[in-house]
Formats: sequence, structure tokens, C-alpha cells
Amino acid sequence: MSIERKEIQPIIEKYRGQTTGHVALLQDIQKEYRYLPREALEQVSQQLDIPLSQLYSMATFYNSFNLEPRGRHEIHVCMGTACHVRGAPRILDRLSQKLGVGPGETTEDGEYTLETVNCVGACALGPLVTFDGRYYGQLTPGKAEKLTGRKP
Amino acid sequence: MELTIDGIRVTARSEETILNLARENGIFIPTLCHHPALEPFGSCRLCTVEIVQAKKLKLDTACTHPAEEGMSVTTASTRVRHVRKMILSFLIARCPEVFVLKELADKMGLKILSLPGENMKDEKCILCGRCVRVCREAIGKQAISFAFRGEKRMPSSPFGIQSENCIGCTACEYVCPTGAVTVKKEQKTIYLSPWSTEVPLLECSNCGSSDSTVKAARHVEEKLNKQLQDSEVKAEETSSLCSKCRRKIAVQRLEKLPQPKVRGFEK
Amino acid sequence: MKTFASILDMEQFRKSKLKKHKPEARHVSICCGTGCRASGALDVVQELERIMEERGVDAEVSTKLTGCHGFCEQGPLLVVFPEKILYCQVKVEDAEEIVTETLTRGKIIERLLYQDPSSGMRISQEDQIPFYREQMRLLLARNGQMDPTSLEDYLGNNGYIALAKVLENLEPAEIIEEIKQSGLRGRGGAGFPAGQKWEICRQQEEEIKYVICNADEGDPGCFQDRSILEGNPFSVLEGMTIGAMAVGASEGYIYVRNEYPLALSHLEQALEQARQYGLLGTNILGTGFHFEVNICRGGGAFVCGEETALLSSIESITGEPNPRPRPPYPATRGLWGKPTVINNVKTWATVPLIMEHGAPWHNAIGTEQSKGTMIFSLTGKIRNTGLVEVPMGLSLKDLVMKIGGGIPGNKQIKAVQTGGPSGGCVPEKKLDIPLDYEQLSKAGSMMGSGGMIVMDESTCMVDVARYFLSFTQDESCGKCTPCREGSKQMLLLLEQIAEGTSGREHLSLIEEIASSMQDGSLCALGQLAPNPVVTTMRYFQQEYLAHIDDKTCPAGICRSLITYSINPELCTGCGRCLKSCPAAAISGQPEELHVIDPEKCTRCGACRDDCRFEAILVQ
Repeated sequence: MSIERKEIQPIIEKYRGQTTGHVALLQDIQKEYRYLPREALEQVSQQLDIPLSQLYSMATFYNSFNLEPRGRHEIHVCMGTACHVRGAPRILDRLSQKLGVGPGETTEDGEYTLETVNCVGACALGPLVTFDGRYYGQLTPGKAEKLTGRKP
Repeated sequence: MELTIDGIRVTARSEETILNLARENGIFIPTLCHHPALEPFGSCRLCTVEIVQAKKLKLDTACTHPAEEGMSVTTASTRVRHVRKMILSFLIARCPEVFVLKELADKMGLKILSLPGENMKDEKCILCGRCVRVCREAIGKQAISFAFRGEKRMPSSPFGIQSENCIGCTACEYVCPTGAVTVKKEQKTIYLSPWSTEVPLLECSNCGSSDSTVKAARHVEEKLNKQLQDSEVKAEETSSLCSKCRRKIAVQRLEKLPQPKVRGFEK
Repeated sequence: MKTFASILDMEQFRKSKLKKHKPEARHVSICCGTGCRASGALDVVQELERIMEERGVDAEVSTKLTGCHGFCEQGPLLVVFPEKILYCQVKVEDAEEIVTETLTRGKIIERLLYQDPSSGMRISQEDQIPFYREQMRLLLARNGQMDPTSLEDYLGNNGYIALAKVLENLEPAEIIEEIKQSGLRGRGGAGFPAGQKWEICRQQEEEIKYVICNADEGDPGCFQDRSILEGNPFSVLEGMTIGAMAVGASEGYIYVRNEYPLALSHLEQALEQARQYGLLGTNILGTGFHFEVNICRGGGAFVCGEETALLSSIESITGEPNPRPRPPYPATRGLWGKPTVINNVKTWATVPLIMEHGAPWHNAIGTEQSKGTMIFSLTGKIRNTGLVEVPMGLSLKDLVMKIGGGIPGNKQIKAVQTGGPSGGCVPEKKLDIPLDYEQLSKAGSMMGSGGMIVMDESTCMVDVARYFLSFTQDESCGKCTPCREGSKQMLLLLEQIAEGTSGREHLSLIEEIASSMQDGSLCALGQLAPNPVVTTMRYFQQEYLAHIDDKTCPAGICRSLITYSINPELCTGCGRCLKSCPAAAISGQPEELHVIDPEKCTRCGACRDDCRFEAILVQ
């Protein structure tokens, strides 16, 4: 996938000269492209004089970064303790079955990416799933399954 | 500073680690990730010792912990030996065929436990990090780094493909304690594994042999040129020559220099 | 928007604002923390405001969107002032009635009131409800009352009184003395005396120093910090400003978890406003004191809550946020090698309260060694899930029963996990334990960040241990051998126990691995990761032995050790289970007894979820 100069350049300029904030820089790129394209990281490395190996370390260490393109919709299943105790693994299983992918994977048609997330802090509403950032709580496997037919 | 290690009184300079102090005094503390030319890393944890200071007991790595006045260090207590036994058991489960691990265990008389999780038989990397650290600290190229985290952590070139920053100096292979990093010399290139990186060899313009890479020779030259910037004698543009031919030329140059007026040096 | 040129300027503004405030005026505050938003609070607000405008009620009655009230189980929450009537589980359809009855006529709508589950009584006053009545809400006090995006509202609620007092009257050493006397201990988990940490930092002879707020609340099940950042971000800023004065820092960082977008947004707004009003930046309130704050976002890594990993993450020198050896401690050598004070959100938020009310006030609350209040996030098998703020020393039993409302469904309490994945399980027989740093440590658990997971008889303790360890194992940075390899091996052993393929020797092997992780790991993540395993083994050994010797899971959770079958006495043959089974393991004719094939059954539980007659048996 080739990246457009006009998309990446403003992000690079925003962080020029900064000694900290590399995580935020990668997050801005992730937000723009919905993942971290290799070419984007190479541009950042060249222009901001940050070793590519360092960016690769960060991209692979943190949960919020992906090096593969995401689906059009992102479903995050909360696996926090409260949600776990209320049956989150079954929600994950059902969604996994329905979509035919495991956590961290994207469906073949590029529609859905299924992810687990470690506690979003809405514990009273467990088990909980976020669908494109919108929270859906107090789910059962059946209700969770229905989400995949909906758009938020 | 005065302190004791295994009951022996030792004197430390300021800002000295317990490990260095022990080694100066001939006291054995095992290490794996430590390298005298690199910053202490504290990842293998094999050099763990017991430290008593101000009546408080703790366990910490000798390679990172500064020696301090009044400290009492024990290098091989039961707790320490247990930690070392487990570390070696963990690493042997991970890398069953790495020789140095079993050697260390034998030397210290530690009985290795067998654990359920085992890696593929040919795993050699013990994640000491020396390769990554030498590339960053000593060579300054940061061609490789640690990728992923937890049990998936591994030293890697960016994206697991050809590293553009790599100069093929082979320092990573030099410092690797287990042979996990290998260099294969091909006809015109060297191939570094597991970095999937190929670096072109320098073909000597004089004799045609190749014993270093173009990039490494240029890197050395850059460093030297930087040092000699103000001096009259600059490093020659000899990055197209192999080291033998370079030395020959250097001798020839020396012979052409005017004779110094010092008795005993006339030809 | 104003800019305060001096303390006097600010105080005059505050006075005039308070003068304008009509306490008898009716207004309604709606909880808009992340939890209630997820339950549709914003839709309720929209509808309320629409109807209010329609009826012309909006002229006299104002709406205020506030931060998290803490009573999450009953959300969306709404409080009508001045009567302080609390409405629970408010839906969009209720908006009309609320406007016409309560907002206009002051009439109470019974069905929206909280109903006490044991007495059946409806309670109208927020502070009469046992959940709130038993709490001592100091940090969370303003959460239900102020608009977190309004600095002026903060001023109207005693905000920045402490900072003004400090700027006018106190020397840095005096500030530190006050914090020391108050007995404030770091609320991030370790409980190190805050005043002592500040003093060490102050004593360093360095021009440049930093203060950092650790807002990387990673314990699953904890959301206290989120609630404070969303509901009252100014309290944290004020605390950091006072701290900066005390240690001699002119720059601060707030490291916020990426998974808290609302908290981030409110923080950004708070910083913006504080700068504009002259309460942040150069020459604060005209006193010549400079202090600026930057926000750093986390990337999604639990280890970054560990203070040295947090520093690595901000600096990003190598890319990976590995923890660092201590000594040196951050207070002597921290961010970029400079003396740095790192404290938790709750710690910073307590500082203005201490400076305003004095050290003796804080010292009078709590126990001998643990002063002040603690906010616990109460979740799991408990009636009243949410945030509770109580004085240290309250017994765990009182917290769970009196405030938490006990276990739903008349089940028996089995254990409470405190301190998150680094903590341990307190069994039912030890529930009388006072909530205090030392007492919890003695029982093998820890205070941690205040996470509290209640478990009942249907929880399998082996499964709990496995859950927590799989979390820490996944989050391990992998730098040091004991944590990286030890957690992996321990998890494998636990999985074998859960699958019924283990022997007694697994238990002693787990113990050996545990002690090597505790003694050998580089940071607290590895050192404390064995805690949930070790405490469950200690207090629930029988349950482990059942898995090992008898190959059974008494709680009916571990999939390999349970069987699903259909109770012939309750089955109506409706066929719902057949349809829901993903493994096609159920067969049967309509209106006849259905049967599960144990060979095909994956024990996923789909049939149990769908059966309306509770005919699915799990053994």
C-alpha cells in the first residue's frame, strides 16, 4: 500500500524537533491509516532521524499498534477481571465463531477485526464489548452475536 | 567505601557495581548478559546476590547494583542458588542445546529442573540482548532491536527483513554467547542471520580479496576522520583496499616521509 | 474567559461567583462518566434538554453533565438539586415525566428511586442510600456536583483554595512537612510515604526536576483514576502544581492510558483552561512561579504503570518501555536522569485537600499506619458494583456487605481479590480484615490500586489464578528471565491442572517457580505476578487437589472437567439449545427430551445461556 505524502507529512511536521511523544506520533499515524504501514514508518525514520529499529520496537510492543491493516469495523472484547467473572470468554468465543477469526485477526472480507482489550474501566457493565469505539454492556453471547449484524 | 562480600572485606571506588568489585577481588559471580564493554543490562538475573544494607535484606543483580558503604553481600546463599537454578532451568527449557548453560549449571553444582514448556530444539537465543546493545552502544548503528514482548520477545531487524542500517561489522556475532547470531560469507556479500540481512563485501582494488564490507570500512573511516579532523595527517581514502593492502600503503607512505633529525634513526 | 493576574484577583472572582449562586435554584446533574455513557446517559441528557426547551423549563432549571458518581450498577444516574433526589437507571422514556413532575413541580417519581433490595423501601435522598451513606467521599466528593470541563465550576467548589494558600504562605520545605505529617502514602500500589519521596527529590542538587502523574491505571477491574480524571481533572492539576512548588520542578507530565479517551479529553480541556486563567504556565497567579504540564499517552502496555517503565516510555530511547534497575530511584535520578517525583492520580488529588484542611485533618482519618481514605472499585459477584471511597481501616466485610450490598442471588461469598493481578485472594474466613496496607500484606494480598473483585461459590479459584497469570504473562515486557520464562511455565502448569492432566508435583514446581520470580525479577510485575496463584493455593488447596486428584472442578467452570447434560425433568423439547449449539452436539425431536453428545460438546455454555427452563446441568 503506498502512502500519500500529503497524509503523512503534516503528522511528521507536528512532531519535528520533539524528544518525547514518539508513542503519540505512532498513534496519529495509526489513526490516519488504521494501522502502521511500513512505508509510513520509513518516512518518519528518514525525516525525523529516528532509527527504524526503534519504531519497529514500539510498533510491536504496545497493544494499540498494528502492522497489518484493520477491518472496517473493530470489535474489542473486554477481558478485564469483572468482565471475565461475568462470562467474557464466552462472548469472545461466540464472536470468534460467528466471524470465523481469532482475537487479533481480521475477517477475509476486510469487514471486522476482533480484538481483546484489558479493561476499559466500565466494570459495572460487564461483560462489555466496544464496537468502533461505542460501548455495549451487559451482553450475553446471543446479544454480542447480534452486534455483528449492526452498524453503530 | 568499605563493605563485605561473602564475609571478605573489600574496598570500593565510588560508582562501582558489586559485580566489578567482586571480580576485582577474585570472587565468582556468574553472568550471561553482562559484557564489560557495554552498559549493565540486568536481564538474565543470573548475577543475583543477597544484599543487606541498613538491616534490610534484598535480592538484586550485582551487575547493576552500586556497592555502598557498610553493605554486606552474599553471593551464593540458598535463596540466590535457587534463583540461579531456576534461571538456568528456564533457559535450558528454552534452549536445550546451548552448551554454555549446562556448563554454568555444572560449574555451580545446580540440578536443572525439567519444565513443561519447551522450545524447538534448535533455539539458541537466550535473549541476553548483547547483540542489540553492542549495535546501539558500541557501533552506534541501531540496526537491530528487540521486537514484540513477553515470551514473543526477540532481537530482530526492522520488520524482520533486510536492515538498511546494518554495516556488516559482525560485532553482534562477536558478542553472542551462544552462536545464535551467525555470519555466512558468500562470494560478494556476507549474510547475517537471523537479521535476514545481506551486506556487500569490499573487493580490494589492489589484490581483489574481500575481508570486510564496504559499509563497515566507510564507518571506520568516518569515525577516524572525525577524530583526526584537526590534525595534519588524515586517514587515507583507503576504503577501497583490504587491510593487508592498506597496511602496505601505510608503510610506503611512512618511507616517503622526511627523515627526523634524531640520532640513531638514519638509514 | 478571564486571566487571573493575582491570587486576590482569583478570590474576588470566586466570591462574586458564589454570590451569584442560588442554592435553592433547581438544577439536575447527570452522571456522564464512561460507564453511564455506555448505558446511554448522553441520550437521556439530549432528551431532557429537548423537552426542557420545549416546555420553557430551561430558563429556570439548568442541566449539568458531571463525572462518575460511582454507583455504576444503577446507572444512568441523575440527581435533582436542591432536594438531592437520586433517580436510578434512568431511560430516555423517563425524561418527559422527570421534567413535568420533578423539575417543574418538585414531585418525586417513586419508580425511579433506588430500592433497597432487602427492605424493599424506596429511598429518595442520595446520602441516605447505604451505598453512599457508609462512604467517606473526599476525593469523589465533587464528582457528582461539578462540570469537569469548567474551571469556574471548580472554583465554585473550593478549587484552588489550597494552591492560593500555599503560594501565599508556605515555603517548599513547609509544604513537604505538611504532607509528611498528613501520613499520605502513595496510592499507586506500593504505599510509599509521599512526603518522604518529595523530600528526597527536593534535596537533590539539580536545576531541572520533574513531577509526573501516573495515570496508566492498568489493573483490570480498576477505574478510580479514570473517574477522577473524567470527573475532576483540576484536582490532579492543583495537586501537581503544589508538588512542583515543593520539590522545585517547573515541568510535569501526566501519563494517561490510551484506553481512556474521555479522561484524555477532559484533561486536555482542563490544561487549556488552567493556562488561560493563569493557573498554569509562566507566572502563575502573578507570583513568579512557573509550571507547565504535558500529556503523554500510553500505547497499551500494563508494564508502563511501573514507574521506571513509564519513564522509559516517555523517553523512548530504545523504543521498548523496559523497567530499569533501582537504585537509582526516580526521586534521585528519573526522567532524562533528573530528580523526578512520580505519584498516582489519587495521591495528587489528595494533596489539595490536605493543604486546604491541614495535616491533622488527614491524620485523623484511617489507621495508625494507613491514613486517609481509599477508593476501591468494587466489581464481580456483588450487588452494588461501582466506586466506593472509605476511610482506611474499614473491614473488608463491611465494605462488601454494607456498602456492596452483599452477593446477589443468595449465593455464598467465597473470596475477595484485592490489588489486581499483583494482589491476592482474601478468603471468606478472613473477611474481617481491616483495609490497611500492612494488614492486607500480612494476609498475603495487597492494597494495590484498590481493585476489589468479589467471588462467590460459582467461581473456580484455579480458573481465577489462571486468569490473572495469563494477564501478567501477556503483559510481561520479557526483558528478564524469571518473569518472562517463569510466568510462561507457571501458566502451562496451571492450564494442565485446569485440564485435569497434572499430578501433585505440579504444586511444588509452581512454588519453586513462584519464589524465583519473587526473588529474581527485575520489576514488581514479575515479583508480584505469582501472588494470585500463591494465595489461591494457600487458601483453597482443596480445590486445587480436586482438580489434580479427582479431575473435577467443584465450581463447574474448568471446561475439560465438566460435562453438560440436559435435565429430563425440566426439558420441554423447545429446541432452542439445538439451534444455539455451535458444535451440533445436541439432538432431539420437537417437544421431546433433547440430549447432548458429550463427545461433540465443547462446553461453551451457549445452550445454558439460551435455555429458558434452566434445564441445562453442569457437573
